[in-house]
Amino acid sequence: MKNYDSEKHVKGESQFVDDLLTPMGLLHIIVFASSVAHGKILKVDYSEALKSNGVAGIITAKDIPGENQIGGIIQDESLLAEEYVHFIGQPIALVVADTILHAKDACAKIKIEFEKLPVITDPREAFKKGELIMPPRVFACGDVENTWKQCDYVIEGIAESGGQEHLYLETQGAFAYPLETGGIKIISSTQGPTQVQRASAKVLGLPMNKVEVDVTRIGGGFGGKEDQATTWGCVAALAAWKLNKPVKVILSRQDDMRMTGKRHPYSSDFKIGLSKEGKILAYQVTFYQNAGASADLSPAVLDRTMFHAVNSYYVPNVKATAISCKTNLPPNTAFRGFGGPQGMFVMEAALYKAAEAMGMEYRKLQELNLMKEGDEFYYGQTIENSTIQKCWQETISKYDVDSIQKRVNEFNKKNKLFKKGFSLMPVCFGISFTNTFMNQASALVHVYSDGSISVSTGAIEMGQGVNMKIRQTVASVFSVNIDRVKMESTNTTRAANTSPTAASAGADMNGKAAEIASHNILERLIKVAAEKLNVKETSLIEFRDETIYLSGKAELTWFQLVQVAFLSRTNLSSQAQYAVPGIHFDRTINKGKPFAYYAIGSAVIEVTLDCLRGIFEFDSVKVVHDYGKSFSFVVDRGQTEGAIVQGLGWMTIEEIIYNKEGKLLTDALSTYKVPDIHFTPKEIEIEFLETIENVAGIKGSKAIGEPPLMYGIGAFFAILNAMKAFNPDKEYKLSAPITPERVLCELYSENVLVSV
Amino acid sequence: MRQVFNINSVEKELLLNPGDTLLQTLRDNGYTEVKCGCSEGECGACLVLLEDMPVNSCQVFALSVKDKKITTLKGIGTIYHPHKIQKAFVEAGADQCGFCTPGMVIASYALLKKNPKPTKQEINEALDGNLCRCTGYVKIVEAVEKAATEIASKNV
Amino acid sequence: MMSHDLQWYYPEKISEALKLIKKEGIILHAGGTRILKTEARNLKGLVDISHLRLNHIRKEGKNIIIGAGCTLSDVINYCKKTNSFAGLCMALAEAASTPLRNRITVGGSLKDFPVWSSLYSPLIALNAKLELAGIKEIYSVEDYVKKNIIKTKHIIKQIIIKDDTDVICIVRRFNIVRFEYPIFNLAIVFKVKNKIIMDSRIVITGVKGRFHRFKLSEKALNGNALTEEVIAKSNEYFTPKFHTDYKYSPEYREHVAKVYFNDIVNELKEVMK
Repeated sequence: MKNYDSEKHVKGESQFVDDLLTPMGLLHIIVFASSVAHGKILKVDYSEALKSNGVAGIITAKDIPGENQIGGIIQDESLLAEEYVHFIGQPIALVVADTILHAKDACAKIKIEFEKLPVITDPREAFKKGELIMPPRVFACGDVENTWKQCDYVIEGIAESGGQEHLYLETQGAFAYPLETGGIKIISSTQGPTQVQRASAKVLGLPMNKVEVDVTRIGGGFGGKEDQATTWGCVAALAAWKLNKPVKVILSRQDDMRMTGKRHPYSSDFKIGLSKEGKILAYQVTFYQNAGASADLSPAVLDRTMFHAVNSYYVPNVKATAISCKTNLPPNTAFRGFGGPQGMFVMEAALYKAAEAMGMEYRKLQELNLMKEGDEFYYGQTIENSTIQKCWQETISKYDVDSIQKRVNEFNKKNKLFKKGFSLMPVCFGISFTNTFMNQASALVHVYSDGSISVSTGAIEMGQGVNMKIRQTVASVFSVNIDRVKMESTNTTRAANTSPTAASAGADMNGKAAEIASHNILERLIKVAAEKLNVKETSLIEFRDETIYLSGKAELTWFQLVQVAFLSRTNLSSQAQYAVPGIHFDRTINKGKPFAYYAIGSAVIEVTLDCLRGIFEFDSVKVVHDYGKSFSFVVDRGQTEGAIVQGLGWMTIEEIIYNKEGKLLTDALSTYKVPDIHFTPKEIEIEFLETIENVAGIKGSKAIGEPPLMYGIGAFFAILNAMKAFNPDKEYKLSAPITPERVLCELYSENVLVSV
Repeated sequence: MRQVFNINSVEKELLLNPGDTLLQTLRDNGYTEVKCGCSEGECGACLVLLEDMPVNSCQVFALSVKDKKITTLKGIGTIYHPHKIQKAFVEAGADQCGFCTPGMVIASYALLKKNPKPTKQEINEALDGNLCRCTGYVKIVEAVEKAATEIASKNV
Repeated sequence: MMSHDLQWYYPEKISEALKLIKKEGIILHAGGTRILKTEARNLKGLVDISHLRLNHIRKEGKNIIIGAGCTLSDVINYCKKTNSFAGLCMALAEAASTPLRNRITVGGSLKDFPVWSSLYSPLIALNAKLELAGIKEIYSVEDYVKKNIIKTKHIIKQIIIKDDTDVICIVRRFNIVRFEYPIFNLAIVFKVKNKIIMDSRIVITGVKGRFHRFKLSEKALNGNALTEEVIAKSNEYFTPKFHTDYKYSPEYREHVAKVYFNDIVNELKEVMK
C-alpha cells in the first residue's frame, strides 16, 4: 500500500502552497520582526518604507479589526507586537508589496528604536525571577518523601536535553484571498486548519463561518505546523482582508529558523531511590521547561512530559513537578513526541546513573523495572494487553543482545582508540491528546451517482500516509476498488471543529470517523439491495469486489446498486463524528485514563566511537515494535525509519545555540546540523511484533508517527557506554545533544588534551 | 526582461529579472516541480540537471546558463532509465511528504545515467547533497538500488 | 536579491573582461555558489567567464595546468582518470556535496578566499602557482594570499602545479555533515627518497590568519627518516591557532587537527613500507 501522492511526487505534480497558481495582482508579504529579544518599542517610522517602490501597504497592530490575539491554550500571544517585544523574530508589521524584492527593500527602510530590557534565555533563571507561563504542576502517587529512608541507594543528578529545529523541507507559508461572499479563504501549510480558521476569525473580528481554510498537503510538519502555522495563516488573512487583495507569505529558510519555535529544551533535577536488588522504590523529578516568550502548546507539552516521566517502568512512589519557564526566545512548540522524549530521557538518565552508582548493569536495571501486566502508571492508568515485556524479551532474543554485548566487550579489549557501545531503549507512549476534548474527529463521505466516492476528513497529509490509510479503510467498507475513492483536501467547510493532525492520532480518529460515515451509507445501500432483490433477511447480502451477492450469487454491480439507490432517493452521503471512548482525566487530582492505548516497543542501538576525534557512527538500530495489526508495512516502516533518524539527530548532532542576547546563532543549514545520508545507521532492522488487533486503532493498527523517535534516546547511552569503555573513571554529564565536541571534552579533562 | 532558455528539450522564452537565480526563474515561469527548501545550496530540493549534471539551481544565476541544456523533474519523462527510477521510488515507498522527492529523483537519475551499477557508498555520495527529514533515507537508497537492478536486468 | 538593472556581460577575451571589472560595481561571475551569501545590492554588472575558455585541464611540459573556470568535478574526474594528485582529488571530492561540486569553480574557490573553500591548503602544500591577468606575474598561491594580491582587481587564469610523480599529497577535511563548510582543511605534501622525507609542506586553513604553514614542523621532518622521535618533534611544532567560534571551541579544533596530523603521518608511514 503506497502513499496516496507517491506518483504525483515523483512526477513533480504535487503542489504545495508556494506552487499554487495565483491570480494576477497577487501581493507578497515580508514580515518586519523584532531585532531585540526583550524591549519596549519607543518609535517606529514607516514613512520611507511606505514611499518605497511597489508597496501596497504596511499593516501594524493598529490595523487589526478584531483581537490582536492568537494564543491557543493560554491567550498570551499577540499576532503583531504593540508596545513590547519578547523575542527576536517577533512580528511587528507586515510589509506588503507587488514583488518579494520590493517588500524586502521597503522592510529595510523601516526605522525602529527600542528601549532594551533584560533578556532571559535560561529556564532556571526565569524560574528564579518568577517568569513562568503558568503555576508549576505536580503529578504524584504514593509517598516519595517517606520512601527515601527505605531505599538502599538514593542517587541524584541533573539531566539536560536540547531543543530541535523541525526543518520541515517546506517552510511556513500561507496564501489568502478575499471571497466575494464576504470573508477570507486561506490556503495554509498547517497541521491544524481549524486552529488557523479560529485565530484568523478572531483577528479579523469575523464569525468562523466567514473564514475558510483549505489544505491539500504539507511538506513536512513534525509538530512545527500544529500551532505555529496559525501565525502565518493570520498574517495572510489580515493582509488579504485589509487590502482586499490576494496575498501570499512564504518564509525563507533563515526566517523560518529564526522566527519559529522549536522542541522545548529541558533542564531537570532527578532523585531516584532503589533497593539493593535494583527495584525502583521512589522517583522524584523537577522539569524546568524552556517555553519561550509565550505559552503556545507548552502546557500540553508539559503534561505529556509528566505522563511519560517514568517511561516503561513501574515506580510505586513518584513526584513529578513541572515548571514552564518564560524566556525571551520564540515560543517553543510541538515536536514529534511532544515532551514525552524529554521526560523519558531524564528517567533513562536517572537509571543510568543509578546503575553506575550501584555497580549494576544498566540494562539489567531497566529489565528489572519494566512494567508488568496489571501494573498501574502513577497517574492511574494500566496498560491493557501490555506488550512491554514481550517486546523487550523479543529484542533480546531476536537480536541476540548477549552476543552483541560479548562482541562489544571483545572489540573494546582489542581496540584502544575506537570503542563500541550499545544500549537498550524501551518505549511506551500513550496515544491520545492529553486534553481529552481534542480527541474527536469528523468525516464527510459522498457516494456519487456514478459510484465514485469522495472522502473529506480533518486529517492533514504530511507524508505520514494518513490519506492512504483512510482511503483503504473506506474502500474496504464498501468492498470496492481503492481507485474509486478520492481523498479530498482538508477543508473547514467539509470538516468542522477539527483537532490538529498530531499526537499520532490522525489516522485513528479520522479513519474511524470515515469508517462510521461509510457504514452509515453502507447500511442504507444494504436496505436498497434487499428491497431490489426482494429479500427480507439482509444478512444474506454480501458486498465483495464491487459486486453485491445474494446467498453467494452475484446479483448487482456496485454501479447498478448506486444507481438504484440514487433513483430511489436514498441518501448517499454521510457525515460522522468520532470521539475516542473511555478516556478521561481529572485535573484536580491528576489521575485518570487519558490514553486510548499505548504504542510499545524496544530497541537495541550499537555505536562505534572514535575516541580521538569524538565522532561516532551508528552501526545498527534494531527494533521490535508493536504495531498492532499493521495494514501498511511500507508506510509503517517508513515512519519508523524516519522517526529513528530524527531521534538520533536530536540526541547527537542537532544543536540549537542562542547567544545571551537571545539571537539564534545556528540559523542556517550550514550551522544547524541535520542528519544527511551519511549519518544514517549502517543497519536499521525492524520487526513487527506478532500481536493482537488494537481495537482502538483503525483496522486493528496502532499509531506510529511519534513513538519510534524515542528509540534515538538509546543512542545517547550507547555513546556514553563507549566513552566509559575508553575512560571508565570519569563521571559523564547527562546532557544532550552529545555532539562530537562534547564527547571529546568529556573524554578528556578540561585543559589536558590527550597526547596523541 | 525576456530570455530564451532550453528547458526539458524545449526552447522557451521566460520572464525574469537579470539578478534572478535559476530557481527563481524556473518557479516564476511555472516550473514549480523545482522546489525551494533553503536557498543556500544545502538541501538539494532545487536540484536540476545542467547538461546532465545535477546542480543546485538556487546557486546558479539564470543568465549564466542561458546557453545550456536544463532538465527539471518533468523532463525526465519519456526517457527509458528514469521511468525505472520514478517507478522504483513509488514501489519502495521512498517518498513521504514528497518535498525532497524531485531533488532526490534528479540526483538518482544523474547517478544511474553515469554509473548504472552503483555501490551503496556511491549512492550515498550521489545523494549527499539532498536532505530528507521524513524518511531517514533508507527507502530512498533502496529505491535507487531497485532501479539499478531493474536497469541491469533489462540490459542482460 | 539583486537589482533589476543588473547588466550581464559575456566577454570572449580576457582583456575585455579585465576592462569591465576595473569599473565600479562590476565583478566576475564563475559558478555562482557564493551569490546569496554576499547579497550585494549595489552590484551593477556581472561578467560571466564561461566564454573565456578557462575550463581546460592539461599537461604542459612538466606542469599540469588547470583553468580557473574548471569545476571541482572537472578536476576530480581528471585526477581520477590520470591517477595524479590523489590527495588533491580527495580534498576536492570531500569538499561540499555532489551537486555543489558540479558548479563550484577553482577560480571561485580562490578569489576572495571564501570561508567554504577547500582548495587553499592542498594548493599551497603542492606549491601551486597562479597565472593572473591584469597583473603581469605568476604568483605562488602562498604569496597570493600573504602579499594580499587577493585584494587587487585581476582575473585568475589558471593554476599551475608541477607534475611530480614523487610527490605524495595527503589531505584531510574536517566537518560533521557533508553539506556544511569545512571546519578546517589540513594538507601535507612530502617527497620520499630512500626512506628519507624531503620537501615537506604542511598547511592548514580555517585558522587565524586564513592559513598557516608549519615551517618548523616541516624542518623537523625534512632530511630525516620517519622515526618516533622525528614524528614527536614535528608534532611539537604543529600548533594551529583557531578563532573562537560559538560552534566549536578552539581547543576542540586544535585537538582534532593534531589527531589528523598524526593520521596523515601514519598514512605516510604505511605508504613508505
